[in-house]
Amino acid sequence: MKKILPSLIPALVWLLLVIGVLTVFSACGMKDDGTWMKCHEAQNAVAVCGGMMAALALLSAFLNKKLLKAALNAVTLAGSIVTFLLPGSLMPMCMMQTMRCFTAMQPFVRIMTVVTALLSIWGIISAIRIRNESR
Amino acid sequence: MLSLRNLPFRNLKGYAGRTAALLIFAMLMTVAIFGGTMVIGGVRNGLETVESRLGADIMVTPSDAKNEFDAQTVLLQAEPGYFYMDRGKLDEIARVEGVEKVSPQLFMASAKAGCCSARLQMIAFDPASDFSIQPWIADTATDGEMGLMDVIVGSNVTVYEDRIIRFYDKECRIIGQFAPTGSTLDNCVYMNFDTVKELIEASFAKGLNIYSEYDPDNVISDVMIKVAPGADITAVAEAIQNQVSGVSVVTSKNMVSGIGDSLRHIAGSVSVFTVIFWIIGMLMTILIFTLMMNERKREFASLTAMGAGKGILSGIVTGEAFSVNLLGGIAGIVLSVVILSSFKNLIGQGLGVGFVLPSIATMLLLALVALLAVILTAAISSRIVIGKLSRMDASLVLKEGE
Repeated sequence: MKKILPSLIPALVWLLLVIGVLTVFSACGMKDDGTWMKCHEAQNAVAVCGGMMAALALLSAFLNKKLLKAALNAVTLAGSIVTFLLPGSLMPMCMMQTMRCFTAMQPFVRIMTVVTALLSIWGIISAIRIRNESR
Repeated sequence: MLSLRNLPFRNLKGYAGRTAALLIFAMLMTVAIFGGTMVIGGVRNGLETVESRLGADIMVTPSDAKNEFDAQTVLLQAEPGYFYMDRGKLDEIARVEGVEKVSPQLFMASAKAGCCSARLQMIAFDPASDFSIQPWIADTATDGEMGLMDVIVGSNVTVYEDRIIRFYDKECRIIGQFAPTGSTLDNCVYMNFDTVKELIEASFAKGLNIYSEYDPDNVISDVMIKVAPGADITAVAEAIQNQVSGVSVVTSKNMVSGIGDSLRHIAGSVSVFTVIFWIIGMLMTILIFTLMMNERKREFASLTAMGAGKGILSGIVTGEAFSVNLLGGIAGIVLSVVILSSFKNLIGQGLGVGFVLPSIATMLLLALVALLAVILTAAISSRIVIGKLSRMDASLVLKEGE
């Protein structure tokens, strides 16, 4: 159990990203007419992407096959890059940079995805290293 | 292989819990010193940028615009608005003694944009007489000269790929974007008189302008004034107030005084927190090192018994203290930079003032000062431990355990 705990960190960080983006660091609220602002779609996309990546990171923690572990980490690394780019680059956000989507959601997503990317790189290196040692 | 050079690092690795605590306190110290001074610097930078960007010494607005224009708060929390006065006021103001240059501006506010419920303040200037906005344009990269339906946007306005912004169903081409000032000027859209007149007409046509009785060719919203060299700004402002009826006069000093007050308040609070956190961090680092000394008495005594002199012991202690504080210090600086640069708008909104990050050179200088402060703490801590080591009798310590 003690050995598996560090492997769960990436999944926990992804989960934190999803929870954060849906609560404290959410995008702008609903408009007066009941419709959502542009950035709401970016928020949902980040949550979906984050949820999928959390599941992959969790799977990777329980896998013993080193090559598969490295491959899953490579996928979460790509996921980190895509999620980083989602708010503002791949998906449009609101007009004013003083709005929540720019002041809270985007920086939070960017910081968290940099962390997940570093964890994925660490995961790939660890997987490769263990493979070499076991030879 | 164990060597004297890598012994401090092995010790740090061996006592992981203690090293982690030292790292956290070193990080706390740099976050307090570096982060705190960055916040103060950021607010001061915002104030200086706004002062330099105002450009005019005096601003004259219609006296009945008090609800839309509060000189004390307009740069920090103004809602987009518009008000008009007769264009003839411009000539009256120009005739007042001490006035060197006058330039009219025309304001307009957009309706809530379809995408994001945000209203934008539009500011139009007269290119022939303007002396306050055109100098910024000269400092900004633009796609050619500003023509009809061309606009330059403040730093808080998002520029989409098509570089088009729509007001009252009229398309305007974004030809540039100004650098941040940390004030409400960042939320504005700048254009020439011809463009704003088109937009005012469009707002009339849509029934979205409360001043439908005005002719856009004969009204202005404010007058920017540059006083003659040697003239007293306050005296000229008073003369305008006395000689021109129906206007409200404000000096640029009055306009930034609100920000200045906030700056003093924030600088005071942040300085207190910085000093408190630094002292706590320093005391905790010294305490941990002193406790470590008691814990590792036998280790140092054994090293002495094996022939290690005071210089070697000092080297080990100093190496450990400097390495851990330097590492914690660097981590604290990285953490501060990431948080402050990522959440700068949120921090500015939270503090209720303009917040513009200091330049990279200033940041590097502040980082260096913060690192020197944690290294000073390392030097003090190691000095205390070395002092205790020099008074220690190795043979007595080794006998104690027998």
